[in-house]
Amino acid sequence: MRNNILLFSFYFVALIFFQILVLNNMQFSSYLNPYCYVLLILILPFDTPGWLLLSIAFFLGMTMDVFPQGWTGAGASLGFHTFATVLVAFIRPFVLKWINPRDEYEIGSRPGASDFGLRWYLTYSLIIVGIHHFTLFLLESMSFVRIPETFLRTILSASFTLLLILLWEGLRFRRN
Amino acid sequence: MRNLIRFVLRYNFPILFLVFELIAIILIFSHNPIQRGKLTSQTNSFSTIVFDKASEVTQYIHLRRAIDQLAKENSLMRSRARAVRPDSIDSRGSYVFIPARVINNTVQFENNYLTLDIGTRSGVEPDMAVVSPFGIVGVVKTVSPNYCRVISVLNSQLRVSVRLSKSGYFGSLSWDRLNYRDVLVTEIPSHVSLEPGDSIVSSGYSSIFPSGEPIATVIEATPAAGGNFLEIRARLSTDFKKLYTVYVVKNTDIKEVKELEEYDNEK
Repeated sequence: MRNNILLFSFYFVALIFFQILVLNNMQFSSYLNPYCYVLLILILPFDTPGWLLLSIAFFLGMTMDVFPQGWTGAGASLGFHTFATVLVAFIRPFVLKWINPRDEYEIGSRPGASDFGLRWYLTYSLIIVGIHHFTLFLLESMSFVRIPETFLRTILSASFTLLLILLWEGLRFRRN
Repeated sequence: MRNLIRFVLRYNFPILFLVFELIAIILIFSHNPIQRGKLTSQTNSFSTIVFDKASEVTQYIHLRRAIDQLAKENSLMRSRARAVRPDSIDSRGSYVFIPARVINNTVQFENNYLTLDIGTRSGVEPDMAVVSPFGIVGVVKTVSPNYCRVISVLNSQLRVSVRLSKSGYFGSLSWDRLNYRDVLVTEIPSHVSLEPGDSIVSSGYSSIFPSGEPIATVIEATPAAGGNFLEIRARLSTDFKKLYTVYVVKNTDIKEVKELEEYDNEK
């Protein structure tokens, strides 16, 4: 348990820094903004209590909102990451229940390709990342008029995020 | 009361979810900056320090491009210096240029901002213009003692008053978010004839930007809906992905101009 707290705190900090210093600086195009930090929500252990899951998501989203710009910076874009991240944290248990591979999840283990297969992990992360990115871009564009554009941004950015997530999972898989 | 507590404990997951989402929604819709007090300066300075350190590292990577930019700037300066004759009236006399380094910059979002490494200690104030050697960059929004944040031209909240340098017609420039190189100029009457490559400069009407500062060149013009005005697509002369050194422009006469205008309005 204590090990987990340390490990996930490390993931938290590492993901935030990777996101802000590397991914946010890539600037390929306005259609390609990968948000890899959502990985933290994906890999939390199955038995994480609901309140903790939501709190971590809230804190993660707030950090993503506030860190790059400060409280007074771009007032208009505060809260977007918080909303999207808390939303996917809320639906995570339902998604896990829905794509449950035959039997119950083992207590203490966490979602990963090594235990449940690549296909399961891909479906799981696709749903979470897809919803997260779509919500975020929809809020950012603040309109339903430019829906096709938002969809395109979601598809391109989420694909890139998924690629990074699978890469990370692959590295973990090999190490084990 | 006891029932209420039992209810909250039983449904803590959806309740907490709603509370968090509510906070997020409030944050999204309150455009007013929250808490300008202690927390503000702390969070701000912590993240700016991180960006400052990161830019110190990335600077080496971009050194080559920075040198190119400086060389280009040098040649531009030289040509300008040649053009100024000692007896001509310097219409830019009331403007002071303060050099600054860009330590954080985005181009991919809907509303983009820059962070510069100078602040009130160097005489920077909100609403001052920021220009690069090649054209305008944005307007200062908030200032701390050592840093300032700048609303980029690539921000849907910023509109700049511009002039077609050939015909002298005035228009309004804004970013339509399609890509980081192109902007849209509107409010130019449809009878004005222009060609691709015509230059667009700042009008100087706002007293923020010096008059005649380069901004963009025309790509194409189409009649806007309604038919009386043109919609001009233009290429920015500043490449926002290659921005290292910029100048904050201080108009030493802006107070006098504003006071005169207010005085006249009151009468």
